[in-house]
Amino acid sequence: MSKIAVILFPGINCENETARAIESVGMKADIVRWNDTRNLDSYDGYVLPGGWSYEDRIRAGVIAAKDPVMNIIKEEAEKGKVVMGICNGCQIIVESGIIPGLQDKVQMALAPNKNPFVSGFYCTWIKIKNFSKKKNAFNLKLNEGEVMNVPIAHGEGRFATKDETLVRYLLANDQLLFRYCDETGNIADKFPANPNGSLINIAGIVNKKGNVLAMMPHPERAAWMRQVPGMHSNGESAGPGRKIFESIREYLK
Amino acid sequence: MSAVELFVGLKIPDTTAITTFHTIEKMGYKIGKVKREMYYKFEIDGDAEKFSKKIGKVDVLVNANKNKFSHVLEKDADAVYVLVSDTDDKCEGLMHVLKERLELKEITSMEKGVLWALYIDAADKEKIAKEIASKLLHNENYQEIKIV
Repeated sequence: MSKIAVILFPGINCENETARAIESVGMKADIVRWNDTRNLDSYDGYVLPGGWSYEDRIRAGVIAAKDPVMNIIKEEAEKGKVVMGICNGCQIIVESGIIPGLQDKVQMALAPNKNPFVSGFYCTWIKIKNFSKKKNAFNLKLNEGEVMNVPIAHGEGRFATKDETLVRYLLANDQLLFRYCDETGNIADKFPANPNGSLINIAGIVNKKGNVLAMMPHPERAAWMRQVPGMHSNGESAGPGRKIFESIREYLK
Repeated sequence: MSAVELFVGLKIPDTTAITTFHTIEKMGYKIGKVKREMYYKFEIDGDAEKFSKKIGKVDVLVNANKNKFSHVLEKDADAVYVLVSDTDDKCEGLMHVLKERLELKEITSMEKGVLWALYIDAADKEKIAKEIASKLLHNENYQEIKIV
């Protein structure tokens, strides 16, 4: 059975639901504190869950990104182990430079949302599309172009970069795994399909090798149908977000 | 047209500045102290003195229970002041609140940012401050810095 460490920084608050989603697909999840790095290299993968690490002081994710535990996670990612950052975990991974990871520097940011109606924190259900034509550790169980219903809950979720050539690289390398879309899967660059003004509707990016993912939406909050609006009658059956965790399990087999 | 600046700090302990200080130390820099203030600059069409008196009482910006404010930056000689602001932030939401709800109609435009004071005891303190800013205090992909 694959073993996943769910990294708990001070201020993280989604560790339990993330661990439950991991265990729902038959992997073992341990919640590991950021300052307990003994045996951290014994895990097959690492998930950085959502929350408010260090209270988002300075800006979301940046202080956790400077923590020594991130050096270990970076080394393990380079060995090919799976690393996924969700929401605040996504912000941490991007601020650490692991994603997009094409140069040894921070190439992107999760900037404050741009939303015509709501300033700051925005929480809703949105649609994302599996945009990658390549298979990676996170879409093995997803069909190409599959649209998923998942929630977002963030104030700083707008992928941004000042490097105008970077997006072309990411598209060419098939690193834009998830993009915000409308009900029909159309990548409409307008609210509400693009809920935060993210650059070309980016919702999740993988590294070049496809073993690290940074995504702003919360798949662990859509792991059971009872969590999905209007689908409560299907109760305990698998929700759309679970396919990402199933993909990780298949990748690690 | 005239401009009014507003520097808003905390009179209670600033936990963000404390965490920032410890993070900078962990990154290997020798630093004496970190202070932080919110910075606002208002372009106004009216009397600057009257506006200055009003804006310091706006509790959206200055909560008298925890904040202190001034209209002039009182610099310490041993600190480097780094202003971090978002490149595409036109403060539309805040300006709407100030103009429409609080009736400060004289505002024509505004800027905001975070002003960091980094106390560095070194000859090349400005260079070190810029390095710390680029690694920690700002993300160049959506923010810019100015040494004040």
